[in-house]
Amino acid sequence: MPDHRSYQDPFYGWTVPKAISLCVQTLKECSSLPFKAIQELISMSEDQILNEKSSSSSSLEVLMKFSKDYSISIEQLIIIFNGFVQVLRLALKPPAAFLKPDIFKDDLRDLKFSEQIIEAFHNILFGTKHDQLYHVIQDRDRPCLPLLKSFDWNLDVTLTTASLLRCIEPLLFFQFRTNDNRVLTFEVPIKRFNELRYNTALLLKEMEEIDSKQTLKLLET
Amino acid sequence: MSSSIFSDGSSKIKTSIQHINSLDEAKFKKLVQRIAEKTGRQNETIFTIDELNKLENAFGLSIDNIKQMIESIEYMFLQSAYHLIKPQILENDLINEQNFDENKAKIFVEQWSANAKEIVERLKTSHIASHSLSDIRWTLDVGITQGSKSKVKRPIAIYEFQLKNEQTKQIENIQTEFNKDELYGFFEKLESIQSQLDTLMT
Repeated sequence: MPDHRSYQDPFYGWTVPKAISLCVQTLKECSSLPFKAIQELISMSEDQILNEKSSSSSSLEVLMKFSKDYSISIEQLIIIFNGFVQVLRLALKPPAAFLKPDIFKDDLRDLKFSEQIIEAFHNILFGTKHDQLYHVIQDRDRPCLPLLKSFDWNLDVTLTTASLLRCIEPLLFFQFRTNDNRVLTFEVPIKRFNELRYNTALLLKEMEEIDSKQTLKLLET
Repeated sequence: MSSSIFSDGSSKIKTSIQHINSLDEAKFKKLVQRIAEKTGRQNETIFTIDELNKLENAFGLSIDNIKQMIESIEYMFLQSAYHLIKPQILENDLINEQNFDENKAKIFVEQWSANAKEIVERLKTSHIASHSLSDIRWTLDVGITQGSKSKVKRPIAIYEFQLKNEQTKQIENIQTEFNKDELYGFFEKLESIQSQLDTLMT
């Protein structure tokens, strides 16, 4: 079995990212930090990725507590924490099938992390939240156009108007709510509705056919 | 007792009818034709100021009289559309109740028969909502890589809905994206609307 290093780049890239090398260096300097605290920092970094918005303030409190308890400066703790988050983000970047557990561990060893830390990272990446982590990285952390949060519709029949005594025309209203909090209420002429329906069906068919397109087969992971 | 469909407005159109009866027939025909084309269109004037001036010279009538005449003819078309009146009844109405000159009445009824379908269609579909969907554009993109993930295969449908404000005629573009599941959900909703439309129209 050829060494994976001969055919696959390490998950963190061609060169060791500054954030990670600083982290390792700072860990060496802070030998008074017990593994229990390091374990907590690693699971906090998992939280950081999963719950971006809510975790920052609570993480800062924990860091301040550690700083007091183990008399380590807050800057050093932030460097260590940041390094851990970077390791996880970089590990989640390649497709899941590429980064097998032993390759992951080998790469971490090359970075000079201790065996205990490597084990902790391994448990997080291949643990219970595996799917959730990958899902968040792929679908949340990207530029995104507004999504349709809700779509309500109203189909009325116009029987008589100010201009026509006997009418019998269907009248279609849509209300779109997008996730950037816009509410759009508009009338849809029946002709446009038919166009919309036809085009949506066409789009769905095209989407199905994407999997069979030759060029995109290159993206099979 | 008047059974005319114009009985509500007959006092207003009386003077115009006198002017109409005195008009040259060919000119009247062209005038009625033009008005028929434009009746029922929202927010559009039938004649521009320049055209009104030319009509003033052509008909030898003051601009006010011409405007009144145009309004009367338009009113007559709108009333005919409202009641979906048959041509023969319309002709009788015009000649007997409104004192229309026979030839002029014939010309008017001719134009009505020719344009009735379109005028009614225009009135049927005239919008009263503030915004209406004027156009739909879409693209199908496939995301292949992004900052947080090096290899993805993510088809995304991007829709651009063009909403037209009926008053200001301004167009607002709304862009939204759908992934496969969301697009299916959207399509299913459209299908349920279609099945409602089908039961309604049968």
